Amino acid sequence: MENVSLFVTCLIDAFRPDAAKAAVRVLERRGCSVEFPQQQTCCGQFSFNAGYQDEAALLAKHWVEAFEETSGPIVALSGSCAGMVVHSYPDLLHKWVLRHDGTEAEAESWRSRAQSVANRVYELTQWLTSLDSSGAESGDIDHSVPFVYHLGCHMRRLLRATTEAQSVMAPQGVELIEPEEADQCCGFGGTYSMAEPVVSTALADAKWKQVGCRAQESGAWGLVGTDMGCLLHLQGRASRQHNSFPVLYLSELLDLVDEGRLSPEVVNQYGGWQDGRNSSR
Amino acid sequence: MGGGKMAGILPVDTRPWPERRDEALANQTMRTTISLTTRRLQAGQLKVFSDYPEAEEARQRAILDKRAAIKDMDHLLEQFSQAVHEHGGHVHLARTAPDAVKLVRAIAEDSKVRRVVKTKSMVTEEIELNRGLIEDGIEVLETDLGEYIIQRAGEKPSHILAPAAHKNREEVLRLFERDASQSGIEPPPDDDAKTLTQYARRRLRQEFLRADMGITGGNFLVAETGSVVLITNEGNADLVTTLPRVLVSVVGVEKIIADWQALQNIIQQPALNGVGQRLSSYTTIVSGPTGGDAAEGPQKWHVVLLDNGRTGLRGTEYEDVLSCIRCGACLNVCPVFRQVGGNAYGSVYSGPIGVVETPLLTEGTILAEMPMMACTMCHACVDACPMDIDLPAHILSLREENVEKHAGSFSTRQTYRWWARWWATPTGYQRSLRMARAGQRFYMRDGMLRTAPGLAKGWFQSRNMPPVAKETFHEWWKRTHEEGGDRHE
Amino acid sequence: MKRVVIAMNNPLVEEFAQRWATLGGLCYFAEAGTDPGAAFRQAVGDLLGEANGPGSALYWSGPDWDGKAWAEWTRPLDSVQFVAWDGTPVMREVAAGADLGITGCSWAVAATGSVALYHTPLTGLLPSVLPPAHLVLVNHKDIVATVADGLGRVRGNLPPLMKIITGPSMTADIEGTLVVGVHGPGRVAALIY
Repeated sequence: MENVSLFVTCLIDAFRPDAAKAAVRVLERRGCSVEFPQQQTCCGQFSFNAGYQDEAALLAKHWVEAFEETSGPIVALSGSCAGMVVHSYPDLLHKWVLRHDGTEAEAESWRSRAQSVANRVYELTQWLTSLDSSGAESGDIDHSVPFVYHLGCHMRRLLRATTEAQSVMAPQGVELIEPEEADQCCGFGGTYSMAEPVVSTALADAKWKQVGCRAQESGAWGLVGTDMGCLLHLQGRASRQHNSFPVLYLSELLDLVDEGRLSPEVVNQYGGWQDGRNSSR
Repeated sequence: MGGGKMAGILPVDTRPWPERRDEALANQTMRTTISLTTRRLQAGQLKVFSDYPEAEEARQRAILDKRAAIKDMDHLLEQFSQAVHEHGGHVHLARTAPDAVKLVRAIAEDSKVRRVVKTKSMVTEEIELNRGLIEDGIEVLETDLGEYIIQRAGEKPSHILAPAAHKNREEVLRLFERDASQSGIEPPPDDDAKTLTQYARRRLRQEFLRADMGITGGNFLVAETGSVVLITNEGNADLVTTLPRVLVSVVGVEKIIADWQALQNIIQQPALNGVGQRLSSYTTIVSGPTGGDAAEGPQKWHVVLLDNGRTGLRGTEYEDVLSCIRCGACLNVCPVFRQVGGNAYGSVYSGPIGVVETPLLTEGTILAEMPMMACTMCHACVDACPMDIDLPAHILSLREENVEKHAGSFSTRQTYRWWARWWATPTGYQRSLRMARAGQRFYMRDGMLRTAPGLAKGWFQSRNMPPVAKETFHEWWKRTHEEGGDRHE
Repeated sequence: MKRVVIAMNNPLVEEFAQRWATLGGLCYFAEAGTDPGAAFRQAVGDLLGEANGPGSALYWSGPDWDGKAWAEWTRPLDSVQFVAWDGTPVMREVAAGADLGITGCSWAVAATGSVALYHTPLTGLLPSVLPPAHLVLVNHKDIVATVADGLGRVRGNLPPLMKIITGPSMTADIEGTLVVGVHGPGRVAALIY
């Protein structure tokens, strides 16, 4: 039994807690004992990417302190937030200490504290592929259910986790297919989506166009992703345009498979936002 | 050559970003062509490296060479000048753009120049050289096909490598028909790309033969040999360097590399990364004039080295920006560039490198908002950059500088400040979510958030958002795992 | 289009020829030690194409073909007017009016399919760029593996102007459509001997 700490991210916590609950079930089925450090809040990436380094450092420090209390793997429900911790925390905190007249020794100490926590961070699919068994046994798969997969930019380029989601889902009889121009950002970009909504939306529309084409070719049941920021942005755009193509977080999809509930009817419930969709199960 | 640092002067489209952006997004022709071009070039770069491991090895060596050359720039430029002098050429240093224009105008006047043919050169766009020469009554013709097209249209390049990427065939035909009637030659019979190209060949051929001055940029300056290296696919650089009697090469100081060995390492990189070829069709190396009565080559050769804010980046965290080889790879992968094209950036340098370089060269006096407005932080540019320039890190630093200069609105800064303070404690974080949940019903319709105040307002211009959940994950965990005891065995 | 192909059983030659052809260039071979006349005439004929009645070709002499050899190679091509490059300013107009430029090269690169030309008083660059077609004569011994190897040969021997040609003149500036023959030749051929 592996003890893991769950990093749910602020977006999932507030706007899609079902994705985190699904992740807990998925992990427990695969033999993990899940702990949820309740001190956690937000990784600070919103502030960091907008140029508010002091503000980001405040949140980063808190995050490090919250997860220093744990031991063992930290499973993050976002490639981007995991990327923030792994890629940016050590330097961010190092610089922050120096900027506030700390000594080099103090700066180094924060860097290494951040680094040692960051070394334990896995994005969900990275963690699942590292497990010996992929969990629920599936017999010979004679056909796969297609889903379009949106791989977020930070998961692709900061974590280099480009095939993990497919490796997790393929044995479950789900084929994840990337759209054309998959490497192109969906336009979310944290606060970019609010600071420059016009370009952000043009990118969302370009992404939906490619997702739509791929869905049509492959008969995909929905769009699945591993970053809630991208998904809220894409589904938020779809919702405004009365497009109810289903959008699922990967843990939600995997949980449906585990429970034997994967069907077009169930998946379609993830299309569009209706009152009550966010109520707990 | 170092001396005091001085801010550069760059041309700028002074219209505000939203206006430039909206104009670009409304131009479907441009968007379609830019999308096709960038996708083709991006695919080319990936493909050419895939079966050519030597290219990657050379790239690694080239990065080291280039970084070292920037550090040793003063000495290398000295060495370069000496070598050019030994071969009978002349080297001039221009501190700023106006200095460079003045120098070239003086050379033209000195040599009684009437007609100039040019190769494509970002540096001459940067200093707006054509305008200065035309003021002196000199006829200046761009000879790169794309540049020739946009010169006819009176526009600016929309892509480093494909300057006319925003023009379609019909538009080019109309421009060429007008050009033909003005120059009294046969217009192109139709709008086929081949026919249009044949027209430009015919039209420019006579100009090449009668021009008395050629102006080029330069891809590399080799200090050891005093050489300027030019890379083109059309062959126009070959004509510009061989036909007119005076040749002027205007090159940024950062193009310096130490020696021939360094050239061997880097020479293929522009083509590999820019267009996905192992080498461009023509690599021209100029190391001196050929003399008075030769059939080809300049009688006089001048090299104008342009600083214009470049040396000010040395010794700063942005120094690696000076390694840029202008291949355009970062433009080709940038999602924002693919939507808005080059002209929306308001500077001759567009895309991720332009977003960084334009404010840096001008000490933040122009286009300081672009790092915020034209980047989603996707990190595609740094992956594509052959010189490993850390563009996302620079964009972040520039955003940070903007925040420090209080460039944003007071309320925005306050929002970020209080956001961080609240969310840095679990109680503050959870309380803020409960408050949002209590207040959000005023912004909801049909179960969805439709609008919101403050920073989030931008989101709701075009997107909906689900409300804060009735029970957050934090609350669910607390309810199921604390009140009912630990359910784990 | 017919091509005279004689295998040379030399990996550098093969790689060069393959890359040159990939770029859209024609390739002709004359077995080392044999008379390249036939291959030469074939190349000239192919390049002049429809103009293969009266046509004009500007050429310069290389170390491997003296006036006598040249006269023998070209004698059967009596409809083509051959003009020798002499390095004088009048050559500009001649080159601009020629249907074909014929040059040698200082070295060629297998990995990229490139040929390098140096400007000297007797070897001009204009015949390779002004006419609509270019035939380059490549001694198989001058084919090196990499661009770096080729550039290494220039050290200490640097001409005021040199160029490395890799395929025909081309552009994709109009809607990304590839078009050959912009300012330089659209048809290029290499004769490897």
